[in-house]
Amino acid sequence: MTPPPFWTVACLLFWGWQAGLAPPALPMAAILAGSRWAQRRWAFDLSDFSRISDACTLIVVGMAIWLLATEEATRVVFILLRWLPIAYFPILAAQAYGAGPGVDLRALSLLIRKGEENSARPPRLVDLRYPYGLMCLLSAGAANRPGSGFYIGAILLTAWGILRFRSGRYPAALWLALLLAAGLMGHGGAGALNRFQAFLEQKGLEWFGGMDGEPDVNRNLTAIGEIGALKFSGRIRFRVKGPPPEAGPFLLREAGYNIFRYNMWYAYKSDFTPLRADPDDPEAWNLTSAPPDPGGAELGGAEPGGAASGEAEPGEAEPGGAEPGGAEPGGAASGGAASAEAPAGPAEGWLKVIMPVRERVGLLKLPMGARRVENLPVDRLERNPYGAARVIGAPGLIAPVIRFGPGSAFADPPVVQDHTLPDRGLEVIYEIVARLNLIGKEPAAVFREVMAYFRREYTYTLGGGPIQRADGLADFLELNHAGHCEYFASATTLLLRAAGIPARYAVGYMVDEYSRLEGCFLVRDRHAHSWAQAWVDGRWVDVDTTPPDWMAAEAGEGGWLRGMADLWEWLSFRVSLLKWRRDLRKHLAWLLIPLVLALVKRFVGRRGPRRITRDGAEKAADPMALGGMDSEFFEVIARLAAAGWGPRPGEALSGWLNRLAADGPPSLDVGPLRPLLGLHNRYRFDPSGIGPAERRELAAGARRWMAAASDAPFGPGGDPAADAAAGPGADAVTGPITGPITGPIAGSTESESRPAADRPGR
Amino acid sequence: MRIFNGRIFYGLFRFFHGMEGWSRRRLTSAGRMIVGAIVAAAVVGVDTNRTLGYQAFCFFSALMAVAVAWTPFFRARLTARRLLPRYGTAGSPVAYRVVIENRGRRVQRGLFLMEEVADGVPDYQTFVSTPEPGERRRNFFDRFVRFYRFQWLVETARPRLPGPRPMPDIPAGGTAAVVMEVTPARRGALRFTGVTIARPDPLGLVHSLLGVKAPQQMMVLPRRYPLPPATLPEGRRYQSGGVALTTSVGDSEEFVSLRDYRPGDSLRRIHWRSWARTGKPVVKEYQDEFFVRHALVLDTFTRRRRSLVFEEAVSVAASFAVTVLTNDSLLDLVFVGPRMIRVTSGRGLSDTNALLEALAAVSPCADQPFDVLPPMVLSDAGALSGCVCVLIDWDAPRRDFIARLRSANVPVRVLLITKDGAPPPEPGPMADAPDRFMQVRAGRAAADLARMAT
Repeated sequence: MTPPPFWTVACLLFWGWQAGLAPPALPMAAILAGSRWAQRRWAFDLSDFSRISDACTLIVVGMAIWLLATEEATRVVFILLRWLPIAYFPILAAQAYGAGPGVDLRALSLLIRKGEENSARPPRLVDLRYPYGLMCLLSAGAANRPGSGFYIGAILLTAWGILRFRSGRYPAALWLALLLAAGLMGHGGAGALNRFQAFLEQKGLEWFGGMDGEPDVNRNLTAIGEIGALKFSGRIRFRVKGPPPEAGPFLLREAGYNIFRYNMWYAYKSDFTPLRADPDDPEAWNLTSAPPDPGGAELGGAEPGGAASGEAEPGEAEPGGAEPGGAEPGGAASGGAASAEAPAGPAEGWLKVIMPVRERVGLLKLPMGARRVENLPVDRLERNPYGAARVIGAPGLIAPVIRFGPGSAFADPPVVQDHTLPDRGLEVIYEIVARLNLIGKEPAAVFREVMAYFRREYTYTLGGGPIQRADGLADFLELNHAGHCEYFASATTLLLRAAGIPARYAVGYMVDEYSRLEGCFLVRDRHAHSWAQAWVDGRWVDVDTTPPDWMAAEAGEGGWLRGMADLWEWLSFRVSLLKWRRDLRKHLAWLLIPLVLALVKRFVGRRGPRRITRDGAEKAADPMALGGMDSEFFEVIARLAAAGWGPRPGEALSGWLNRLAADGPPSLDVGPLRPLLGLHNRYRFDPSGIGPAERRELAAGARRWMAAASDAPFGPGGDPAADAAAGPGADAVTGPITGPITGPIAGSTESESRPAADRPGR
Repeated sequence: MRIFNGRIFYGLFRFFHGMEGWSRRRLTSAGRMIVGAIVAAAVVGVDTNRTLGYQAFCFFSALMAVAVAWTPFFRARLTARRLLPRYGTAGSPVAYRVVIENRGRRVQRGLFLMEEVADGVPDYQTFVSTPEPGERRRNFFDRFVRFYRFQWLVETARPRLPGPRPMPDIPAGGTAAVVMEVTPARRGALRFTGVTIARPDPLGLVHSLLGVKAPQQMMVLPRRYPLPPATLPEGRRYQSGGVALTTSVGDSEEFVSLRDYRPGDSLRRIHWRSWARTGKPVVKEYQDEFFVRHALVLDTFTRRRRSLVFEEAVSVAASFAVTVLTNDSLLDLVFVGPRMIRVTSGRGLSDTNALLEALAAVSPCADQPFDVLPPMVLSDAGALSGCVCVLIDWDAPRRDFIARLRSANVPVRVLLITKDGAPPPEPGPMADAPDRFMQVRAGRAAADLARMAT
């Protein structure tokens, strides 16, 4: 299957354009195109192609190792895909400049090589130009270049590639019409596929890339109103070090919202503004405008000095070896009922959040009162008015040390939207406020009343309950009286607003599960949580009215499978720690050394392919092509025939030697000739031939014998009677020695040289 | 576990083998390429936010959809007839013609021709009981799954056929011939069931298929290897059949004397002139017939349904059968198939092809012991000039057979076929004639035979 001329070159150029890799693509295309005019070719055999193929594979492995060490895991595949044409170009170039029409399939795959060990089939050749061209197309797609250039290019190149398969049964116009129809159908399908993925993402299916990442800071689609039970994964999302085991549970917030509409929370004007790094420490960032407290005196002696070390590996940067944490991060403001009692905020302390970052962008998990982040090697840190902190240009794993304390107000003061209730559909909010008589009460009293109300009349469940109306929150408050954290958080936020307290909806995680194995808190997907925040005394405090038993309800039954999964995640985490060490690049060279050695081993010390002319005629004739007629044993036969001891017509050579041994001249030692005859026979008849060493042995042995026989009494002028007895057959064997190989040699010994095809049954 | 190990894997292999065959028939090479591109694009383009591979996926899928939509509408009235040679050889390509006749009213253009033979998939019993050569050297996983065994069994049973061959335009009522080539994988009868006419869609991706029945068969002879010029053990022996059997083989009929007629003498030997002169019947007396007669004994006693060793033994025997020139001698091929078989070739008798045909049809003898063979050979030992024994085992009964043959003064050459990698066997009764005892490794027979001491 041969593609049209220059089709692969066009695919390469297309890939270079789309992938932004024109510098390598142009010379590659030139090399490939040049093969059409080059006069020289190389006779690559199976081992040559195998070596080149292995080299390509090693290049891919090397690239993958490098990317895994330097890039986020999810990006590795796409970057690797984008670079694949470079990695596999050597094998394509070898085919282009090789003598054959393709590459032996066994050279490309170990599986095929193993499968054909017992195969009698001739080697299967594959023309790599089509697969390579398709690889270029897909690699071009991996560049994700906006616009319609990729699709149009893919159509044109595909049409060019399949043009030669067009059936002559139909007019060309029909072919073109069908191709255009397929192009239109494909365009429609691509759009539908794109919308389908957007739909799935909206539905929250986390097995699509990006969906298991951070929440959207502009809007938050709640599961309110959804039918059926919510399932949560036990996968570990991040780890928290610092606080003692008894510090939990506490809340870590990711984002906040202030507009509730149709079960969706939005953030009004949530634009991010960049924060400045500490002038003295580029990896330290102040979250509040107030100057940070110098040192760690307020942290009960906790000095996070190690965190500032730029060479420390992520997650291993303990804050100075001090007593962990020093305070419960959430202070008294989290953890259900207590939050209502003590809006005073958290005590001084710190914690370290070890979290993966996807696509180099992520949201920090912040405790209430967060004011400074250290050990955060990112390009930028931004914040929005609702207290969300976004890192940009982060490595795949970060371990920021977050300091917090009372009086810190990372989020902006409330705006009018923090007071606003939905226009309609939630009259029940006002009814509850009236029933609880919340208007005019102190915030602490309001918190207490609201908390008591939810504890008294509502239960936690993962199911949404039967839906009566479109508004799930109203059903929760009026009918079902059962729901999950989003119901409680949304209802609390709106109740507080109705009571005159500015409030927001916050999402994040509840930290509660301490792992003795890892010495830190584990935060899983199912620990995702939402709660309300209220503006009290000039700062935001957390108000979490979800019944405290919600974590137990969502824990589910892990069993030993969960344990095994945790163990696996722990191992993965340790690998990830190693991978994202700051000094890993220094070690990468060590990882690549075995690969380079393997490459060198495959190529050094091997004889390269022979160079031949373009038309395939080799410079040196292949001796095996002569069918063994150049065997030096013929010289021995001629020598003895000249002495009158040649084989008789039709006499098998072994029988001839036997006769010489029995009746030949006494000075003739037949012994050395027998192994030479064996080699001679194999050289002539063994389909696999003889090895180079055996070939040399045959030549050297025959010449040795000839040298020794030059002075022997049976030399020239021997028994003329025997010479006559040798007859024409003996004369015939001299033919190939002195002249070109022509007919007579084939008749030297009739039974030996009779072509197989002439035999009966052939 | 056993079910999982055997039946399920066998079923999977069979299914995927069928799928592969279906795709090869139904899709053109371009179609297979596009399907491969669809799969690749589906893998790399699964996330529409990260790559544009999904666009390629949609376009390739649309191409295939258009092509598939074109396939249901293909009608043609065609017949097919093959012009087959009488013999083929296992492993060697055989060219022949297929004549297609268009009995419809429309010209047929742009069609392709495909051959139909049995698929060669082994049955389950064969699959579990027939190890692939060298299977022990494979790793545990390969031995457990046995995919390569299945692949080997299929390959050794199914002839290699060319891909779809383009057909010339066939006018209405006209015929066209297409040269096809088949490489039989094994000896025996090669049965063709029919041909398939394929019509590609306008894009050239998918075939519409039309089956045409054309059952025919061809005899496939065993694979033969070139042998060095062989000097077989010789020695003239009296042949009771005399000249009637051999015409002029051996000593040509030589007149000795005249004698009186005795009842039972052939009328053809009456010397009419002497009768006329003496008035009583006189017959001519001739010298007894002595000439060379060889036996080629093939050991067929194995319990394996398919055995590379056995197949190699048949090939070695066939190689001898075609190498020993029988215009000046006789060659008896002796083996036990379902019954005792003795085929003699030589001048005046059947030719070498008869031996090869017999060898093409030989099958392993699993229900009888080796002991049934020696009497067949030993009963004629007195008439044998030499005996070539192709054995597949070297156990006590076989050694005893060789010893008895040699004690009957029959020159013997033993070729013991073994698995590749088997250690060199002890010569046993051939210890005093090591040059007449040879191990031939299955799979390397050509090389081993080339080393054969002649």
